[in-house]
Amino acid sequence: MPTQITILGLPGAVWLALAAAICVALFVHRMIFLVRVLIRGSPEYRLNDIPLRIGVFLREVLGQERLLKGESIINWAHPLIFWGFCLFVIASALMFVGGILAPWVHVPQVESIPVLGTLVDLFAVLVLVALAASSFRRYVLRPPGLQRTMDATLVVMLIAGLMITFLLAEIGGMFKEQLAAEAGQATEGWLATQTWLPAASLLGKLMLAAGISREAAVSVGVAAWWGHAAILLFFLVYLPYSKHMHLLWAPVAVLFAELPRRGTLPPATALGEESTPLRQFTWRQLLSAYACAECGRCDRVCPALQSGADLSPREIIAHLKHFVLEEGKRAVKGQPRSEGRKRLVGEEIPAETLWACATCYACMEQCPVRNEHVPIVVQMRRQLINEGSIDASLQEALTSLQRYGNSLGQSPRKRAEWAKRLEFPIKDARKEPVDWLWFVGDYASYDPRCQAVTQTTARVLHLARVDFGILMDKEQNAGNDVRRTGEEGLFELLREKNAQVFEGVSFQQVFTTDPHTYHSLKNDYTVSGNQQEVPCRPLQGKRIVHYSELLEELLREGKLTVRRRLDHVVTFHDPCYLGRYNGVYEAPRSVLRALGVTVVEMPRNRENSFCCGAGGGRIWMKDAPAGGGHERPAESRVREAMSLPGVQYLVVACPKDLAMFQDAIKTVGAEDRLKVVDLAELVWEAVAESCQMKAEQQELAHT
Amino acid sequence: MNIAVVLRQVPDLIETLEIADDGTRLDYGAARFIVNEWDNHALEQALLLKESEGSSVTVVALDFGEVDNTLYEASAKGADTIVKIPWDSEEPPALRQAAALYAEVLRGIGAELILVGCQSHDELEGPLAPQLAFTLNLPYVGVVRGVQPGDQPGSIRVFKEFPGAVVARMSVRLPALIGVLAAEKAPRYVPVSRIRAAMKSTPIRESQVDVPQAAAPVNVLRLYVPEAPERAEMLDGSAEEVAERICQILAEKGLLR
Repeated sequence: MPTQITILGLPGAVWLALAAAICVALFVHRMIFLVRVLIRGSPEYRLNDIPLRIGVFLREVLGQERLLKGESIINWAHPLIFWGFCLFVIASALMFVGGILAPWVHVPQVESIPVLGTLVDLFAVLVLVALAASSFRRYVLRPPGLQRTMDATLVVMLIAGLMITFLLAEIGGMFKEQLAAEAGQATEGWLATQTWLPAASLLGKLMLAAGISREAAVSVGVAAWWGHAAILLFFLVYLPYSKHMHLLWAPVAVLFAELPRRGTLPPATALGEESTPLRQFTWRQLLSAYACAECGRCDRVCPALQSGADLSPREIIAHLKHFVLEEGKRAVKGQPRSEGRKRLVGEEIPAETLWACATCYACMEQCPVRNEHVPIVVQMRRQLINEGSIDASLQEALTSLQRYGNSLGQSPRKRAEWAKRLEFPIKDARKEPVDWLWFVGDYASYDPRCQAVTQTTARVLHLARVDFGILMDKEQNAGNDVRRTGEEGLFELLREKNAQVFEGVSFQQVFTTDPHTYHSLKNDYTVSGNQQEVPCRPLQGKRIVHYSELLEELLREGKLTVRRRLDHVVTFHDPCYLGRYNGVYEAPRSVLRALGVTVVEMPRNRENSFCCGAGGGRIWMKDAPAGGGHERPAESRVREAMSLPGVQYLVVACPKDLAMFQDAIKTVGAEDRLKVVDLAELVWEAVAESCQMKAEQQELAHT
Repeated sequence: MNIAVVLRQVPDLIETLEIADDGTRLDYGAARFIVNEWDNHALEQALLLKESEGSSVTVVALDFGEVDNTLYEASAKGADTIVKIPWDSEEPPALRQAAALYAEVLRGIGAELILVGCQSHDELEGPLAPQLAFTLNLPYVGVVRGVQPGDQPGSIRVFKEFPGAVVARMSVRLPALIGVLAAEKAPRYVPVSRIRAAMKSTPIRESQVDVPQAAAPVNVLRLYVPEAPERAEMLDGSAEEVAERICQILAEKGLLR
């Protein structure tokens, strides 16, 4: 072993042991600090569904699933570097143990272990290739949001250094074994096992061809071995201070990710004077700061950033990291909260930045370490709400929700006006039992554009003989967007009021046309922050579906028959709260296929769908004027639909989408080219005649 | 500075107003209530003064409509004391009766500055603010858009708006009553969690006063919603046809022979 030398009168093994001990101690010291900071966050329950967590961990950490499915170049480069890292952990452990124990026992080194040695040898080269490719991407292709910091450069150089020194040490070791065998000495390394080391063998031959003697290569190998050890120890200490901290924390972040449901929020933590700065976030939110790899994927999919808003999800996490480490230092030392330092919420991160988020989940969908940008933004918004720091139009909406239970400032008595204009009565679910309870939602109830669609939906269901009813004027906004503006108290009030109404209603299943309402009923009403109680008991165990799922079921079961197959060419917009949040992608497409229409997918579809910009309470806030060549998310989406040849309809399955895209179509002047249509309208067009006939036949049969 | 604010409940115009069967008054039983918009500005102005001057703010309201919610909301926003004046009737008091009620409670509070909305949309006999100032024998400045601490102790500076957007800056010696048109900032938002906390932590002080009897000076004969004028008729067709129709209508009205 290269440690069997004497340096300044002491054996190499002693130097190595000393250096390793110091560096490990520094590493452990830093890690203890980071853990102590983390546990100062608020509690958040993440020990549910352990087998699922392990499965996700295996797929996404060891299997690198999210990266493999991601952006080109890095989709193969990162997994190679990561798997290389895993192999080199074993190699390095053997190297240190072998080096330190060399005077006493022989510990087999990785190059003398068949298969494993070959893999490590190959990966040394593969990692170098991957580093070159990822550097080309970072420094030449320069995708937006990917930083070119000193830290990133240093890390690349350190890893490259590790690979090169490993290969040189390996070659030196091979030649040393050869020379020893030729001198008739015993060999107990690579030569004894004859492990196939293709990279080292080839490079060794090249060295010889370049005129380097085997003896020289052995000396270079010893130096490289020590160089490798030095880089490794430096890296160990540097790692928990650098952006590469994600190497240590990302696996933890994935293990304790938001599972199995998405978009559930932790309860509001105690805010105000008595709260410590770190306690304003949950430990899992603080962990996001450690786990961030600064890869910028979140920025590249953020609709707010793309429409010119001053919102970068990556920078929010970067600010959080800065805050966590700085406040953490004080907290661990027992010092009081910092005076004079800029406040994180409202100063370091301006309020406008936080209000720009549409909570569309695109950042979280993309994040390879499953960081939780949306709950962090909501948590910060809770602080803004607590301080009353909100814009006038949002204040108007929230005040209206407090007073009237809807955001549109309308009388609760008018909530079911749309139903009165139908040619058949709709059941009052408070007065008679129903199979399906229809939770209509604000926009579908009040917005004149949406009311017509709501009536069409009612007609479809009526003709399919679905037994449904509504809560009339007792329904209140479900509170999904209220909750995501950070007004947790108002959300809880709305949930309580709705729960009280549910108590007196006899129903088996629930549906809604609004994906925001759907998400809230399905998740916010049935799961609490600590996942231990059901906040809304009447919904416990009830089936809650989106109307696209109900329509799909009715068509599949023959309760709706397509009389007139539609020959439209359409594209479908996946609502964020239906798709990314709840994974419903196929039901609306199945409905469209059943109607006979041709569905052409937009480039950004399913989990990559591009938000209309209305979520998270954005629909109540004024848009900052789009400037600098940017356009609003809904306009960008309309142009995307328009770019598809032959597409006549942009099909939506969300009342807010209907309103947003109808406006956007006017703004971009595409009224002649594209029409926004709700899924139910197309269903009605295709089934109306047949159902009417069927209904009439049934009535005749009865008489 | 000791500031008092009067918060009144008025019918919320989000609902269609209904007229009682006798046709002379609103059906208050069918109404939804909301805090008077201008009183809400008066409260905001008081809170802004509190924040800049360290004043104490007492809110006074009649036990009418959804008064408890309004008082708790005021407390959550930062009012120090919330006072409710008992009132049994389903209808609000007449102007002079209201002024006498508020005056009695306000005298007991000993406020140096009283802020009241300069108008409300249910005032039948004129605005409360000047009537209250008269009852309390206090100087009054109305239609004020902003109150600031004065240059000298015991005074305030107010910005009174005149027609044509002319604004006068005035120095007012305290005690005084100010009729507020708008606060310097829009009324703040208070999160529901704070209102709920206020419900638990802040008691509503009930002020016992004798209800003064006062004959209403205004006798309402009939209260009614504005009657829709006759429908307009759109005339279609050629110029000749339209002209002919106009002549016909004018003749029908007796304007043409």
